[in-house]
Parts: sequence; C-alpha cells; structure tokens
Amino acid sequence: MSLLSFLTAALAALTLVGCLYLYFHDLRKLRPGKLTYLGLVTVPSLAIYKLIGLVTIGGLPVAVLATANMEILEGAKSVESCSGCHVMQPMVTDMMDPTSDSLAARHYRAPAMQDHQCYTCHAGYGFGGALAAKLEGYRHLVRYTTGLYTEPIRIRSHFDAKSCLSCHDGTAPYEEIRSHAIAGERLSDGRMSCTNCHGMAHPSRTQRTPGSADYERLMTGRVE
Amino acid sequence: MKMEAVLTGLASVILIWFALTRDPYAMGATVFVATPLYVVSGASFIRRVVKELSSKKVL
Amino acid sequence: MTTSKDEKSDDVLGLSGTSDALGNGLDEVSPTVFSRRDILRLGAALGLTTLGGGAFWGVLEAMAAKGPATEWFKSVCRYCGTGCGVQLGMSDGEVIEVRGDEDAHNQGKLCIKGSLLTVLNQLPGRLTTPQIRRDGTLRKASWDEAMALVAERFKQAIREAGPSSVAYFGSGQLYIEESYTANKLFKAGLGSNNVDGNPRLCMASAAVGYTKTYGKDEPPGAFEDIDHAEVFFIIGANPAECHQPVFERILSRRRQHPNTVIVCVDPRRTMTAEYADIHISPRPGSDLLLLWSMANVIVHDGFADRDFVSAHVSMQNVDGSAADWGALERFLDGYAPSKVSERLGVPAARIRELAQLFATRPATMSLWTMGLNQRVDGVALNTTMNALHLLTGQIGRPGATPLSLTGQGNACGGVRDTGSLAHLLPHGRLITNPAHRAEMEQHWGVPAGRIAPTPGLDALELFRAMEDGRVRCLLNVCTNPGQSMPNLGRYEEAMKRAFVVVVDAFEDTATSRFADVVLPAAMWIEKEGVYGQTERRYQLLEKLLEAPGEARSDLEILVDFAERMGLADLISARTPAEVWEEYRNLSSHSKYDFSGMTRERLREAHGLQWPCPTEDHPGTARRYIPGDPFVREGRDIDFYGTPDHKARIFLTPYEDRSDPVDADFPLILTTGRIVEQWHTGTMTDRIPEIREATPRGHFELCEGDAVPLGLQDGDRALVTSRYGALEGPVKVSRSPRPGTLFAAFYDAHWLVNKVVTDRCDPTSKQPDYKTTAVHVEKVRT
Repeated sequence: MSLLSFLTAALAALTLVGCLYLYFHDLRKLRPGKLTYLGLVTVPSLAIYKLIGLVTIGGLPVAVLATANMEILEGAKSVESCSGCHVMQPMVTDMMDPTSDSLAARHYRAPAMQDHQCYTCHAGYGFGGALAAKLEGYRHLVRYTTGLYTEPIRIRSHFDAKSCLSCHDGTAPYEEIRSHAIAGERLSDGRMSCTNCHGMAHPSRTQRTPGSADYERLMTGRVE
Repeated sequence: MKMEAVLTGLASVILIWFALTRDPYAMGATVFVATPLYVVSGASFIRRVVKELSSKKVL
Repeated sequence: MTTSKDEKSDDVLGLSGTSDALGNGLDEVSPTVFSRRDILRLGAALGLTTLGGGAFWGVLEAMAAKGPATEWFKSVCRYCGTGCGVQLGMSDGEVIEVRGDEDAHNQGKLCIKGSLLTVLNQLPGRLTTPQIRRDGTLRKASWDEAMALVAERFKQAIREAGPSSVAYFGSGQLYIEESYTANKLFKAGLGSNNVDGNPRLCMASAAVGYTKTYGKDEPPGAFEDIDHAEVFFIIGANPAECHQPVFERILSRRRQHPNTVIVCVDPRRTMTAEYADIHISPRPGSDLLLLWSMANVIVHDGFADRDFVSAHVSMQNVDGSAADWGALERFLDGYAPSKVSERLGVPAARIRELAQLFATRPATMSLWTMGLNQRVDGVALNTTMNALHLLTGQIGRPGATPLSLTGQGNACGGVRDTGSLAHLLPHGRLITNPAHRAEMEQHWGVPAGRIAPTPGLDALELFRAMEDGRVRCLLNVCTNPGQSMPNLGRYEEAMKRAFVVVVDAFEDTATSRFADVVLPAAMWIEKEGVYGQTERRYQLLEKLLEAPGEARSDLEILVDFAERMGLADLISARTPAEVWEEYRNLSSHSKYDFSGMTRERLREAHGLQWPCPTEDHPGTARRYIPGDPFVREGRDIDFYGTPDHKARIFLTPYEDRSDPVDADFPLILTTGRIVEQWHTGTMTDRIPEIREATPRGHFELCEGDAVPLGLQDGDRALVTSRYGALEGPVKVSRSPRPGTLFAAFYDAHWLVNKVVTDRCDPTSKQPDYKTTAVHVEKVRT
C-alpha cells in the first residue's frame, strides 16, 4: 500500500471516529457549566464537543480528500492501476505481449520507458499535468462505474501528438524525415495523428469488440 | 450535529474502502459520492455556526 | 432540555453552557434517535449530495472534448497502388479528418500523401466549366457547346479516315466503371482499338510478364504474404518511399522475426536500401544478369526444386521451342557469377549469397515495381523474376510469392483487368484472338466483326501516329502525358497537331496547354466507383462530396460522348452501379470471376480479392492453391491459366539494348519518385505544405561524379541526351550510384522527361525511364 493510501485510510478512520463520537455522545451530559479537566487547563465540555465537530466535519474531510485525490492522480500512473478497469485489459495484454508490434508494445519494450508506461504517453492527469486531462479522467471514472459505455471504447477527440513529440521531436530521425516537417502544425493541433503513418497504438476497435476472434485472448491476458 | 455526523461518517467509510482496495468503483464513489457528502455536510455545519454566531450578534 | 437564548452574551463558544451545542434547535428526547425532522433534513442533504455529484458529472460531460468530425466514412486513398483503406471524418459536408482504416489491409497506416487527403478537394485551380480553345486561348464554354464540338470532330475524323483515326488515352486512376465504359465505347462502339493509357508507361511489362508466365495477369500472392516471408527480395522498387504502408509491414515482420532478411537491389542507395540488411547496387540496365546469375547458382549448386519444376513448370527457349533441364543448364552456363560480376558491378560472392538466401530460406517474397518494368527488357526481367520463384519452388505458400507492386491506385482493376489497353479485351482476352473478339461481341451485343481484328496503338505508337496525322482526335482522360511522356519534346509536337480533348480536374496542367477542348471532371470522392489495387483487391469509394462548379464525373462525360456518337444503346449502363452490374456479370465468364462482389458487399467489406465467384465466397488471397475457386480438386497447386496447367520459364538471354553509354553520353539518368509527391504533382504540388517542403526539380549526383565536372551542391548543370536537353539545379548526395544521376518528375516547370529516352520493351511497349545516357556539363553563370 502506498503512503498516500495509508494516509487516506488513517485520516478517514480518524474522521469516522470523530463522527461516531459526535453521533453517540449524549448531549444531555453537556449541560451548561460542565467542565472538563485536561490536566493543565479546564475547558467547558461543550467546547470540546464543538471543537471535535469542527475538526471532524470541517477540517479532516479536506485533508482526506486531498490525500485521496493525490492518490488517485499519482497512483493512477502505474500500469497496474490502469489495468484495474477491465476495458483496459486488451490494451495492457497487447502492450505486454512480447510478440506484438503495436506502438504500445514497442514502446513498452523500449529502454527509455521503465515504468508508468501507460502514463508516459497518456500524460497529463498526474498532479502536475493539465486540468483538462484530469477532468477527462474523472469523466471516464463515472462512465466506467455506472456502466455507461459500450465496448469497444473509442477516443472521442484526438490523442495529443505532444505526447509523442515530447520525446521524438528534435531527434535526428525525426528531423531528417521530410514528411514530419510537412505534417508540422497539423500534428500539434490534432488534425493529423502520428498514428496515421506509424500505425495503431493499441488493438483495433474490431479486435476489442466482444465476440471478435481476438477479444477472448486480449481480455484474459494476465498483468504481472 | 447528528446529520452531519452521519453524512461525514458515510463518506469516510467510502474513503476507507477506496484507500484499502483502490478499486475503480471505490474510486468513483470517492469522487462522486463521498466528496459531495463531505461538501454538503461541511456546508451544513458552516450554516449552523453562522446561525449560532449571528444569533449572538457576533456576526 | 430547553434552549435559552441569551441575547447579549459574548459567550461565543457557549462556555456558559447556555447554547445548544450547535444543534440549532434540537428538540429531541434522546440525542441518538432521529426525529422526523432530522430524517427530513438527512433526506434533503442526501438529495443535495446526489444533485451535487450529478452536477459535477454533467459539467465533465459537457467539457469533454469532442473531435470536430461528426461522422466517419470508409473510403480508399486516391494515390498509389497500395490502395490504403481510409476513414474520412466529415462535418458540415467537408472532410476534415483522415485516418488509416484500422480494419483494412494497411492496418491503419498511411503515408503523408494519404494523411493530407483532407485538403484534396479544396485545392485551388479546379476546372469548373468546359473550355474551348479559340484563337489560341482556352475560353469558357457550355457543356453542350463543348461536347457538340468534340462529337463533331470525332465523327468527322472517323468519316474521313476511319475509326483508327480516333483514340482514347486513359488512366490507372480512373474508376473501373469508367475505364470499362471507355474501352467498350471505343472498341465495340466506334470500332477503334486505339484505347491505351498511362498503365502502358508503368505496368505493361509486369502484365505481360505475368501473362506469359501463368497465362493470366495479376499477382498470385497478396500483402498478407509479408506476414510470413523470411526473405524479402526487393528489386527495382523503393517501397520505403513509394509504398510506405507495405514497407512498414515488412519492417514490422522483421521486428517480430529478427531472422528475416531484407535484400534491396537498386543502383541507387534509396531509403529502402538504408533499411535493408543487404543492398546490392548493380550497374543500371544490367540486372537481368543478376537474376540469371542467381539462377545459375541455384541450378548448379543444387538449390533448385527439381520436383516442383517437373510437376508444375515448362521451359521455353527464346525461339519458342521447349527447353529441358539440360537446355536450362547450358543456357545458364553463360551467367556464372564470375562471368557476369564485372559487367554487373556486383561481387560474385554476393551473387552466391543472394542465390542461397533466395532458394534455401523457408519463404521468399520478391517485390518490384518501376525498376524492372520501365525497362527495354522489362518483360524479360519480369519473366525471369517469376522464374526464380518457380525454379526454387518459392511460390504457392504463405510468404513465398512474386509480388509486382502496382504504381497507380487502379491500374490493375481499372485498366489491366478491364482490358483497356490497345491489345486487350476484358479479363485477359486478346484483340488478336478471333474467339475472344467473338465472345465480347456477343456479350456486348454488337454485330460480329464490330471489334477490329488488329491491336490498336500503344502509348508511344499512338503519340507517333498523332505526330504524323494518322490519329487526328484524342480523348485524354485523367492523365498528364504533357509531362509524363518520355522524349517529351517529340510528343509535344504530336499533341499540338492532333485535336486533343483533355478531361481533368485541374486547369493548367502540362497537358492542357495542348488541349483544344477541356472538360472539367469530378475527383476522387466527388464520384462513386471501384478501385482495384496491387493484390487483386477491389474496394468501393462512395460519393461524399459534390464536384465544384459544372464539373461532372468521368463516367457522365463518357456516357454523354457515347450518346452524341450514336452509341446510347451500347452504353446503356449509365450510373456506376449499373456499369458495375454489367461488368461484374461479365466477369463470370472468365477466371477473373468476381461476380460475387455485389455493390452491397463492397460497401460493407474492406475490399474483396478476386476470384470471388459467389456472394458468399470470401475472396481469394492466394491464387493457384486451394482457396482459389479455379484450382482443381485434390491439387495443392494448379496453374490453371495455361493449357497444360504449368507455369512457364522463358530462357530469354540478356541483351544490352538500353540507351548506349559512350564517350558523348557517359552518364546514366534515372527518373523516379519521392514519397511526398505523386507523379506529375498536379495534386500534391498544389498542397502548400508539400510544395514548400519539397525541392524544385533538380538533378542528383554523387560527389565522385560532381567533382570532376566542377559541380557543387546548388550549381546549375545542363544535361543533354540524344533526345533533349534540360538545365537544372544540382544536388550532391550519397545516394546515386557513381556514373548515374537521379531526377524526380513532379515539377511542372521542369520537364525532365524531355531528356528521357523513348526506347521501349519490344513486347510490352513500355518505355524505359530508368536508363538514359546523358552528358552533363556545368552551366557557367
């Protein structure tokens, strides 16, 4: 379990304890004037109740949500977390298949990508990334958990070529090929995709359609 | 403050579920159920505080 | 407990204990039991929560980026013979996005030209009205005026000088329905066999090569064989630039099977050579020596598959007599590696290596294109290339096949298969064969004898006939001979003399300067039709856009012409769908049989490969083996195209008939292509990004040739041949072979074909664009 997960659990547990106190503590015992001795100071018992209320309802939730969201955004970078949703299974199986020649599989085998292989290309939803990417991620979350999607899932807009260019732009092979200069701006604004020439990143939609010949194989691959 | 306690308590249970399992459904519940619960609960609490403080002519 | 309100207390925290512990009005008896009011409040809070969560989700959905395209359509690329499937994204009646079709044979891959299909229909310079040349200038005219003039001139020519005074020069970029109609109209309607086209300039030798070898044109294999080959023998082709998705598939195969070997045989160090494992650079014009020399090693070192040859192959001497194994051995004696090595410019050890690779690996696939076809010995190169596969048994198995790559997107389906060449009739029938003529006369419902018994004029002969006035009227459709004919200067005169009708999408092409009438045509997805690419795959392109102005589809124009020539009864099929029905049914009478390819099936499928004789037949990836509906029962290979069901090897000796290199013309000019520009650039050179990124027409030399001539990068040179002269900028690069120059022909302001020889293969009549002897001198400024 990661540190953030642990922190989230701990803080949430603390909040829960506070809620239980708030719920079950007999308010009749908080009659006016009742005081509590805390060693060095004496405070009205009511004050303690209100303080606990403030912390539990107003303070801790903020901390819990902060750690939880950080966990979501940062932890979601790992391949393991991506493969948690079953619709991602075909992509992960294919990517880890040493015999596959898809862009994802080839990059997975590349020395430059040792971990966070999904996130390296589908970047942006980490803590330091673009807000839009995070929000899109949350939208995917709802769609998945409510079941409001059909397989094969498909990207609605464009895959941002910056994800490719951030590594490949400026390298000798990229600069030498005239077609790249021609593609130029069209790559930046999404009118053209790197996959136009370099092929599919992931298994095709047809392969990911339930009932297709490859669907079974892609769905049952195991993630190490 | 019982209502707030219940709302916040429910939300906290969801958060614990998420923190322990990292399951996508828990993640979804965290973002779309627990968060609004916390928010509504917190808002209600703030409303009470304001009400009490204004009744004492502090605000 | 009662609440008490102390109005004036400064007891904020309720230290005095008089406030209600933030119950704000608790009135319950027991602190932990919920009253009805509490439950109501809880319910309200939960409701608010749901609303809040839902609102957040709603915002996310609204913010979700959508691609601008609202609908996607399946189509096919406009350009090369790879015939990539594409997906076109449209919005508001415009094509705004293009992607490779993931489910088509190209597996979602395109090249830069295909990726820019979005701009194709919006390019400037589209013809929108007919034009007639009056007083030397092309002036706007109405359709009626223009077509009336065309019909009148054609009728006059036929009346005065017979049907062979009119001709049609078509294109491997027109739809099947269009070429079929033109062919029928001229041969069975007007009685003129002068139907030819630009495939004569690119695929004729390959077509003749296949027909001689198997009795039938078109490759036995398919792109799918790439996934199984272990040796790729790429000769006279640069697929890394000119058939990119094909080459990507080859590279993919090598990545997944590191034992795969890619051999590239090309005098020039092309991009393909850079990627290859082995690059062989023979002297231009000598590669038939290489192929026969490999055969020599294969036969003498025992790599030949004698069983396969005796069961499935027959051999012929050059005089037509049958040859046996002994004759083969004697023939090959003269091609021992040590004997040819010097002439070839390739070490003998290399030749042996190639032969061994070719013969002994589990599956060898050869791929070739213009380097073998556009040659004076193009037919011999093609038949010998096939022969190597037959001698070694590298055929009829996945990954083992000789695959001729087609240049244009519809040279196969549109011209070769429909028989729209001067010597052909549909589906492999020959003009010179009386039975074939009679069959077509019957199918087309014309009187016996309507089809003339002698072949018409092939491209070069046609333009020569225009030169001397034998051909008076030319209908030139979807092609640009004013830039692409070899020995261009001579044929410019020919085009000036004849009455030339140019049907094109663009104005101001190099051909329209000779046009007497110009007719505006629809382009690509502005009309519906079928394209047939390299691997016998027929694919449907649907109409998605309207043509600009008054432009019409080429089919409409041909139908109109037919009507005005009195042939309305013959050309009764007037829409693409109607023509397809007629043509599809016609195919059932031949081994091309694709009658199972109904329009509906083509709409759904990502192309279908013929033969495909019934509507439930899946199409045929590999011919001559089980799966091909014409293969006889119980055979595992059946070359059913020949009478004896055997493929043929022709012992054609090497003769050096290329344009001779001598002291006056010591270097060799080769013309070719680059990936970004399609042929004569009428489309691609109008795309700003491509025009700006590609150099203007120039000569490429290697340093070893440039330095003695005093030439540096950027200097200008005058290149002269026996045919013409052209001045141009020079680029010094590592890729040309010493002794050779390279030039591409896409620049309309730099007509390099003026320098190119019009020598041709005597059988296929295909010109040799690859070896012109030239003289180079620096232009002093």
